[in-house]
Amino acid sequence: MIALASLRQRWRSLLGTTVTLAIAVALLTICGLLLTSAGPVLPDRYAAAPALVRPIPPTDPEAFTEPRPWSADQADALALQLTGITGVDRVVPEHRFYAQLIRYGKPVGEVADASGWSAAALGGYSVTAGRIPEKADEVVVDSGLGIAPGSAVTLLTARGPETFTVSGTADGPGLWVGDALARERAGGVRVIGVLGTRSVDPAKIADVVGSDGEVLTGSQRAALEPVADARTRWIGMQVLLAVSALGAFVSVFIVASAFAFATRRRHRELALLRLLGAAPRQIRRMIHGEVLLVGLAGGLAGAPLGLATAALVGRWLVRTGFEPRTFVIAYQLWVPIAAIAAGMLVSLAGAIAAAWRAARVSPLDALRESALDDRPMSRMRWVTGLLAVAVAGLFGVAATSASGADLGTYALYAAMALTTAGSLLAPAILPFAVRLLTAPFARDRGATVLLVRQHTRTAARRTASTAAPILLSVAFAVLVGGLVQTSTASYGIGRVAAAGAAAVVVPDGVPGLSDAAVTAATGLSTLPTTVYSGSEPLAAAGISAAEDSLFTIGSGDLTAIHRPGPRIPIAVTNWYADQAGWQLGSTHPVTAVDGRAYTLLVAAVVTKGPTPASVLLDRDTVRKLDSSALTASVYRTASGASGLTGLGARELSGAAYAQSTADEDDRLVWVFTVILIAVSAGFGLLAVVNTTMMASAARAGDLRLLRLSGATRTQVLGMLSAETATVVVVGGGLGLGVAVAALAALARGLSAQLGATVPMVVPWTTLGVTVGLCLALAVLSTGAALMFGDRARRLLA
Amino acid sequence: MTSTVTVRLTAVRKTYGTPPAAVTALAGVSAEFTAGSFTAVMGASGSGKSTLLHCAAGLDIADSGTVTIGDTDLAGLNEHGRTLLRRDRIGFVFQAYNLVGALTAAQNVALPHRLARRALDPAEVTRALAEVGLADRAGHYPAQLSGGEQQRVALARALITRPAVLYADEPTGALDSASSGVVLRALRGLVDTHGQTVVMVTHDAVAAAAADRVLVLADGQIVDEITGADPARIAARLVRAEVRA
Ligand SMILES: Nc1ncnc2c1ncn2[C@@H]1O[C@H](COP(=O)(O)OP(=O)(O)O)[C@@H](O)[C@H]1O
Ligand SMILES: [Mg+2]
Repeated sequence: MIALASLRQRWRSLLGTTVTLAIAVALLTICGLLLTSAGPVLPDRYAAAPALVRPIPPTDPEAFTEPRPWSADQADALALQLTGITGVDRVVPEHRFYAQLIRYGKPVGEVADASGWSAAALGGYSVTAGRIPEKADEVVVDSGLGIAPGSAVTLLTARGPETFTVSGTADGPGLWVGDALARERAGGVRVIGVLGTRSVDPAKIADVVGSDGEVLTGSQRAALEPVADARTRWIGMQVLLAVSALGAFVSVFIVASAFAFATRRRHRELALLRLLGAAPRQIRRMIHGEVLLVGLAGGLAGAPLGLATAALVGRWLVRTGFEPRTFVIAYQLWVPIAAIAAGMLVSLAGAIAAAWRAARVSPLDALRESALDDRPMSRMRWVTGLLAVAVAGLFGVAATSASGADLGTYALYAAMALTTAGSLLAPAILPFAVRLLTAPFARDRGATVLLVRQHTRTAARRTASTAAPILLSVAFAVLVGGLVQTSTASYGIGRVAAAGAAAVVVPDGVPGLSDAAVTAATGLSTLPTTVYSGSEPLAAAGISAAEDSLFTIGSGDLTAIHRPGPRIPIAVTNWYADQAGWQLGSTHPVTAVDGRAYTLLVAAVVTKGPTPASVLLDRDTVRKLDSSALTASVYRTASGASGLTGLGARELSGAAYAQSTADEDDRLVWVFTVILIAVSAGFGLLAVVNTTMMASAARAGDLRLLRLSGATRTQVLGMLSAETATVVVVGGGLGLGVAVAALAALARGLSAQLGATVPMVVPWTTLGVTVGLCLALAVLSTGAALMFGDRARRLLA
Repeated sequence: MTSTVTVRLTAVRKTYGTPPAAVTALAGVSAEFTAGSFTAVMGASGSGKSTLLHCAAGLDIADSGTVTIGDTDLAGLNEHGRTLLRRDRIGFVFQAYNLVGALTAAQNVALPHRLARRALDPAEVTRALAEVGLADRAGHYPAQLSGGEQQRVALARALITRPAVLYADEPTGALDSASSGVVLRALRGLVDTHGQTVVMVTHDAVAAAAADRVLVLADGQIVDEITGADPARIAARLVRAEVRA
């Protein structure tokens, strides 16, 4: 009851906190709905096959590479065995290869591969006009395109543009060629479809397949979604999880500062309750009750907001590329309920310290004339603050020796811990920092500087509460911005610099460049492919003699890879060689994308080069092993490439390329960054407004005294603005410190991982914008608090 | 120990701070407060009045000496025990801010019962408020009451808990003389009609005259005891005590 009554009286001052929690719960609802909705979707082209067999996928699901295929012969043999099972009508190995329909010089539709006509049965498609493809230059296209049988069309394949004749049209999206051509072009097989009239026992299929692959039936078949979709979904998941975690952390932070503040303001009331016989436990329960009610109120407002906007956000994620086109939202009741519960937990977590503190208020303080509580640093605060610094240090050390995605995560954790530490220790640091900052004005004879300095010293904690959200906003905005720039700087610049390129030819509306485009572009390039060691993928790239000079040779002879023998000569990067134990002259059995077995012979070890691939082969060899391999980009020594029209390629200047978001991954990362900055800084700015208003309201008494002692209205406002600006600058400085520390750890980690110095990039623009926003909002809300607080209004009148 | 003695202090000493800068607030105070008595404690500012009250209520712990309330020796209680003692056996009224701002007058009166999770008949709250002349203000918040009215609500609260002893620290210190009169009459009424034991710290001779007995403190010691006196005599004795000290 006391909790409720107290809230009724104080709701205005807790409005900011409630709004924050409402937004956090809305965010959690949206993320929860999106996360639970995101699942693999069975591609239409397999919809009619009750059972599908695929090779064993790689163990790391986050590698996002296709599984090691069967060779065409292996697939045929397996298909023949499967045909013997009772109930099985037909078994179809799918031979699929890269092909895109080109009309008027531009790629058309979303279909980016062709398969043999027999595979059309897996999708349940049939010919609607004309006939099935028989000759090597015949193709069946989607009837929806409005192309009449008998027309000539251009298909862009890995070789380049090729002319086909439309033999017929089918009632579904896709390109189908004669089975013989598909078998020749596709190389390996990654899906075998089983068609049957009656239900076929999957166990029998599994018996036949044995350890050669896995059988997928029913909803399991969704695992055959395109690898690119799985990857997109995974990226989307990372975004949503990061946003949820950040939202929760920031909310805890904001609730903590709001309640710490409120507890200090209610000191006398708490002392009175203690005096009248309230046990510390009762006080704690009361605060918990209050904060749970605030959390519930925020949740009840936030969950509907989340439900209402989830579809919008979902569509946006699809448009941006964080979710595949097949994505739809499934509304589940438990998600908003869980979000509300999480919101309440978050607020409870935020109020732990405040409740603990409130319970320790001395009943004697109710009897003292002035119950001022602004003891800057309690021992507990020192201990937890320094503990947080230690935790941040541990994460920082972990980051310097971590690899891959963990690196960024550790840097983020370090920043979270440092932010916590910063806000805990702020009352100790602030007066000092403010003195330093105002030192140049110390001889000023006016009252402003003196008052600002004294105020931050005597009301260190209140000042610290205002500085904390500024610290948070700046730290996270700068960290996230710097995180991405630091980690991509090495690649983006490295790529172009290594090739010394003046211009770069990149794909335009196609997944990669065909051989014809590469030839027309005349420059340096690699042809990426995958080889499989067992069932594990290994990134490989084909280079021609022209590219040899881009690599620094550690040992062996790089030119040897261009002289193929019975064993395929390769070069290997030194770090992969170290990791896998490969040596000069050692041989290794692998499977290529055509599904056949080969033996690699290590002819050279390279220490440096412009490709992320671990293994280098001759370019022509790659083309033989992987008929669908595409080139990512071609580096030219001069701009002005010609003859690219109709090849799905365009030219960018080197500088434009280095900065461009032409690369799909770069673009996603960039959008991700913007989302994270927006979420963390958005919450932070909300908190800035909240705490500044609370602090200003608490100072009304002080200000009245100032006015009574003869300060003019302008002087009071000027003093407040100066004070706010000082706090923003100090808070921003601390935030920058936090971000720089985390970024330094990240840069060291990246350097260790890449074996090259990665410079730390501090995003100065982001810093400037965030500090500017904080400053504007803080000054405005200080003014607003004074304008709208009625006592204060009178005082300024 | 006679059953009529409600609060007994024996040789209570209290020093604040560490030796070079130590302040002796109470230098061996012994006093008895019998049931149903109304005692005023007077003395110059800094003479130790508040400290005496704090020690007698178990809010502060005496360095030496004993304090008993009823049969309970405060030295034998831990923090929780002292909290329960305050809740169940001690009432407080002080200069200002006696009420929880978020609660109505009636809710403030019922607060100790609520903290103890004891059932309370709403009629009892009304009766207590009526007794201090505030029956019609039950639903008002402290911000809507005058200082004197707030003090009377605090008295009504004490009335309901039936504490063994009611401590008042300058209850009229922030009031004008008219409001003071009302509050003092209400206090007096508590003693006369309900046999409430009251210990009141004040430096107002008029207020002290409402009491049965006046203890005068100087430098942490009881230097005088006046009974049945009017304000003028009390003021005169007070001046003498201060000069002597
Ligand atoms: N918490 C404290 N810390 C230090 N000195 C105190 C404290 N409380 C009281 N004193 C000192 O003890 C003496 C008695 O104080 P107090 O009991 O408040 O006097 P009174 O109420 O008669 O004015 C004063 O000198 C005062 O300064
Ligand atoms: Mg006093």
